Amino acid sequence: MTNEELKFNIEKHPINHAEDIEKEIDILFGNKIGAIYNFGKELLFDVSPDNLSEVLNILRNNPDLEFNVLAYIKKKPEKNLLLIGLLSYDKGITINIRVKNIIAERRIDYKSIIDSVKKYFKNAQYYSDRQYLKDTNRDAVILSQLPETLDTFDIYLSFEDNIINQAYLSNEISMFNQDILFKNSDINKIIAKINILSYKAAVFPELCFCLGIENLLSLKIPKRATYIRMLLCELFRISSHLSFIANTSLIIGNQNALNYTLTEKEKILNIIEIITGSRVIPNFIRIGGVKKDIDDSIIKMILKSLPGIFKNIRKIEDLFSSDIVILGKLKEIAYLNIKDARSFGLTGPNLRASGFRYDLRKDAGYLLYKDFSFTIPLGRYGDNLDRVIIRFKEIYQALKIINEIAKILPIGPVAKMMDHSAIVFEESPIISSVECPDGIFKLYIEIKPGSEIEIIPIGPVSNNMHACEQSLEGCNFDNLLTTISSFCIESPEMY
Amino acid sequence: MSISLIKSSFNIYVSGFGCCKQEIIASVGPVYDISRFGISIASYPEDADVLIIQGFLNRKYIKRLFEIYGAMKNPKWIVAYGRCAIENAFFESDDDLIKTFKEKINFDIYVPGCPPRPEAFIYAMLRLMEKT
Amino acid sequence: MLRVIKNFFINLGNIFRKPKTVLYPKEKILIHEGSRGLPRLKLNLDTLDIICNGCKDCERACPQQCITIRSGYEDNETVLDEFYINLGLCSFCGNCVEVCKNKAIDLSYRYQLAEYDIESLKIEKMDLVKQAEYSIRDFWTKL
Repeated sequence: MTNEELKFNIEKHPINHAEDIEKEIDILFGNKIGAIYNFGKELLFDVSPDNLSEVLNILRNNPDLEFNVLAYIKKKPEKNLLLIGLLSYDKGITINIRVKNIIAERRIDYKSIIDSVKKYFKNAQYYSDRQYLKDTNRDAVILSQLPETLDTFDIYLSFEDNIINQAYLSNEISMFNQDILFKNSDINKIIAKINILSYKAAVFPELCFCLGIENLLSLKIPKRATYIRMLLCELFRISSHLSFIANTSLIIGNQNALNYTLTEKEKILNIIEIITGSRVIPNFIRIGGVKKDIDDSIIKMILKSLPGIFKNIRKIEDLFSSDIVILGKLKEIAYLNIKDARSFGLTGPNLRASGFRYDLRKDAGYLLYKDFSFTIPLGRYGDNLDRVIIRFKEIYQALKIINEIAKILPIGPVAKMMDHSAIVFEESPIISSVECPDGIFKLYIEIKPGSEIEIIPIGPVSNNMHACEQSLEGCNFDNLLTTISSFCIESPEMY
Repeated sequence: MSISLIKSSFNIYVSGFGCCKQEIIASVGPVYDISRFGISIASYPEDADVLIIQGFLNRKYIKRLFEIYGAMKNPKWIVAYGRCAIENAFFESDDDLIKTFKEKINFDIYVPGCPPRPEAFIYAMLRLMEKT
Repeated sequence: MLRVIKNFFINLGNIFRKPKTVLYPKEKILIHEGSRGLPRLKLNLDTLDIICNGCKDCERACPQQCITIRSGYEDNETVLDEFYINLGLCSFCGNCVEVCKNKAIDLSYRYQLAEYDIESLKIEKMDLVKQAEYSIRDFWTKL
């Protein structure tokens, strides 16, 4: 290979690794940004409010970078902080921009910042003040009443001849400030409380928090502990998906499917209770490992009960894919194509139902998912039925992973012996992310002097809600409830 | 405790959002089957006899809760289900609102736990029936 | 015709199947070993004294601040005077058991709790000792 060819090949090679992007950003921006923190597939840096517009422009339009999706905007007026997340699906890397001291430096308010983001990213409009939509969409108002999926938001609709023009989901009533929760708590207290942030699958916030702190301390976790963590994650994934299916069948009105699903869910919760000691709130993951070991008898019990659970869930899937009533209410309704789904920064099963493959378990390689062979199921059309069926398929893959883990669980310690009170933390921000059943769950953790810990959760709820609003447009009024329930907007948003 | 003879039939209205709601829905399922005691879940406050308050409540939702309670017909009972509801643990700091909440809403029965198991929910409903 | 026979056998099988529903107040689900219920104070089985010496480790470790301990001094050692648990705040997380050096506190298997009065949710020292009868998994058969 001649020198010229080599040079050409190097030039043509795309920038795909976080380290390369870190270097590129450092060269491009120089001293316009603060120090860059690298957490595997997540980058974090400070930008002052003046430079923000320029930085966003370059990040979006530079052909080497192309961070063209806005993943989230998180406002924290009382802490004078704004977090913006930009995602590149092709590279699988998220850039988190932290904007500090917004009010102190200049008289720039949040509205003008969001306006400047709106120039480059279309879906930033969903994060601006949208109270006026309450007055314009007054043809039908559905308050949060039912004990099913429609309880965390009010729905404001405007429609003509049964076709919905515009829908506005307002989740004001369920917005909850989590700062009261973590007031003067140390690490163990936070682990016991944090699971409320995503109560349907309560192990994921715990895991996310512990992974972040372990990343900061650069701890190496025993293999057995990691395997037990994965086992719990998959069990909670199944339980969460089953409760989604139960809610959907409740809304459709199919009592058979509801009863079958709740029976299977009881079995899964049973296994979770044997392992952790509680049905819903595990409080099981600790920094450096897990709380206690699993006996061999429990593993035998799990292996014995898996085929029965698989068979029964298969029956429920048959019901969903063959019953005329269910199919009529789900099939070919509320399409969401890949391009739209990507523009909303969707993650999780709702994105994969549209046919785009993006899963942190494979892409980021947290925990030890690379040891196991499993596929990421994809939908084809992105309609309501796809969004339900893909959850069934994910349940089968989770069962497969559980089966493999139970068979090859290595012997060894389950936790690193360490004194939590003796740990001294560097003052540093951390971003850590896990693949939650509904999408990517992120935690921004900041350790302040005196080891006071500040947490900002970034969940998948708001993205799912925006995508739901979009796909409701042009949809028939009869299909409103099934469409909303198929997007799985169940847990409330914390800010 | 009389089990076979149903004293009264309750329609319950579940308000709020939290982990406890999962366990209430689980008690409707076939394993626990709360409808054996004539208890069913109502979708509208007008139909309900018992209001279950659970989960974390913010200011806007508490105001909504007063409306829901007002819409229910007499006689009506209130159940505090779970830790968050009993000790008002997750209220945003607003003293006036907590005061009016405590004045207006008198809980008839308290179910401790985080979240209480479905058995505890059935037990609480049976005790509420005993009281009436 | 074949379908009728098939359905007949399915129905026949369902007659002999064990019902899935647990008739709750009469029969109960045996909850598993290590499940977390109401906290209890352990006794020293030789002397029948409370093991707890009032070191307040659990009070500090409790994430919900539901434990209140009052302790005095006797012969340069702390002695337990009062031990309150506010059940309304307790989340049964088990952090107090994890942190106790003397293994003086434990979680029982009692899970069915409901009170008419909020004052009766505040449990005293002697009540916590009495929870020992709920520390066997099938306690309702022994009561």
